[in-house]
Amino acid sequence: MGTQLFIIYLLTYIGLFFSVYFLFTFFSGTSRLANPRAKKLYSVTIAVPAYNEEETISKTIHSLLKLNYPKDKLDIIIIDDGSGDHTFEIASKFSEIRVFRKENGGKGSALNFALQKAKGGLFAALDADSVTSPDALLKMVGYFDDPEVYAVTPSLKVALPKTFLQRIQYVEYLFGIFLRKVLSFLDAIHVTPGPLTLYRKDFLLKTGGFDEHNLTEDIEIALRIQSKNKRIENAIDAGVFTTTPERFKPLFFQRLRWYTGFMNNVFRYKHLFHPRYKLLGVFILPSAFLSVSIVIFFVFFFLIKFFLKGFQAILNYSTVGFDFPTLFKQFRIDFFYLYFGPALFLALLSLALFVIFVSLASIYSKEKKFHLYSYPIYLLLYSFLFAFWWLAAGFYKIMKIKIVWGGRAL
Amino acid sequence: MIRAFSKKRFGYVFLITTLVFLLGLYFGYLITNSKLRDISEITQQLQTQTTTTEIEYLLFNEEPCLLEIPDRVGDELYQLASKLTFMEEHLGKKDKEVLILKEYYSLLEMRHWLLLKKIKRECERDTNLILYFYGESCNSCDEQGFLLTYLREKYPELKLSVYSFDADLQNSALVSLKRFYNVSEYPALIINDKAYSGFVGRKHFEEIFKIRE
Repeated sequence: MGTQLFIIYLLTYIGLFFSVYFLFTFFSGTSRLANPRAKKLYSVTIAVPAYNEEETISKTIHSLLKLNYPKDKLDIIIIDDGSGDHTFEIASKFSEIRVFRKENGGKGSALNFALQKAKGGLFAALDADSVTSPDALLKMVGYFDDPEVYAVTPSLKVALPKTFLQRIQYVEYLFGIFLRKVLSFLDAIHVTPGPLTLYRKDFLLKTGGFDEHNLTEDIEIALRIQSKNKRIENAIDAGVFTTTPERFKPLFFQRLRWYTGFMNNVFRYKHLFHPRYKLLGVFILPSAFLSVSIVIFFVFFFLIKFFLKGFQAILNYSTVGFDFPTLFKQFRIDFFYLYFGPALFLALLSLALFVIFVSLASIYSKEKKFHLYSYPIYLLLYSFLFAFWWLAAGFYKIMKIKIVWGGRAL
Repeated sequence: MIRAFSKKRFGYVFLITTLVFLLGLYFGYLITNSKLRDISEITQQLQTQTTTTEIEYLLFNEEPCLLEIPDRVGDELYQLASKLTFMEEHLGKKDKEVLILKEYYSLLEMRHWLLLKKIKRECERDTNLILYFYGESCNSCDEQGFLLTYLREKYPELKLSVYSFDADLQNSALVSLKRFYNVSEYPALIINDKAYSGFVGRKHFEEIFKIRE
């Protein structure tokens, strides 16, 4: 009992420390929240790699055409990555954009192809399942006035959450928006979302373009930029909306790819775990792994307790022949049994912190909608899903199971 | 300079975190304490009630059987037991305050039991007295306790008075009680002076009390 309690308190303290650190950083950086107004408008290429996207491609193109940005500075190209459907024909109907067709080679190869064709000095990719808000680009480009900035990330949001898994992701993405802004203050963004993150094209070309054999090429580039000690910025109110998996299985495989990709890339850039990289190397990256471990620990702890209690309850009920009417009669409400020990107090505290994080993200990313039911669903289920995905990713990694993505094993 | 490792920031965060953490611990401690105070208050009331009954018993010395024993004492004793078990679960078996309260509670139980036993014998009352001993190294004590609570509710006509004792307590009165009934295995039940060791199931109870469904 003693050691168990000590571990619980220690992990709670560490978790609380991270939360307070992020909150403190956010509030000490509020003067930097407004995006810098661009001194000049850079020429931008936005590439849409598309593989069998006939249903969503025109929506994505429409959102790009509505971008509030001078047309002569904006270069939109669609790369049809050997689709078997009408993606190419649909995209070709738009006269304002350039459309290319190539043999199927995966997202990385489509992006590299686009990189060769790109006219802009800045380069961004937008998946065909995502749409951008009209002002996103304008809000992001100002950061490039700083020559040390090599990438700028938008705020990624879930488009029209419907199923309960999408609602969970909706809150999760909001949480990510807060975290990314804080990490940008610390120059420690290590995960850039794929959609519409702007990069300096020269840098991409000089360092070999996108890694075609990477599960998460966006994470690889983020770490590449960090390892060159360049900066990644974030425009918190530049909204990009993405369609997220509706059901458990596709979501599971998406996370498997993300988390395995994250582990692979962090392993590849393991030299970042070094005081040379200051805060990123000695605090942010280790804390990312520690946070995952803490969540997994608490989920397991809870599940074990829950199952032991459940098992005992079944044993107890069986002794009375599951006579629920009588059991119900002896049920009395007594507030004494509402336990309010230190552990619960700290749990409530984390809940309060979560509310603050998500509220800050909603306010500063100018989120207009408020999906009330999403929050309780998220709080109830997310940690279990999160722990499960990470454990599965760890399992796949240890067992060296190949993860198939877009029909190709990576 | 990018990614500067700000010692000042870590200092502030450390201070805030520690403060909040300690505040949480203190708050939890306050609430735990108030719960323990609750228990001790109920114990006090119970003691007064038991003593009152004892004195009434003495007063009615000539006709002790005219004395009406309130059922409530038995009920409250029962509630107290479950509250103590609850605190034990959360604070641990070795928590000093819980141990003190439990020992006191056990003595109160014995006193109440002795009184009821005497009245039952002398006045031929139809109450059923059960002593229930549980221990830490016991497989089916949880179930036994659960079943006893259930039976109390299910068969009010049996007038069951259940007195539960933590057999691991080191109190000499309790040790004597255990020795008197030769209790060594848990769960152990003394039903109207007859000892049963090991789990007693529902069917068995119904046989003992001659209940037909």
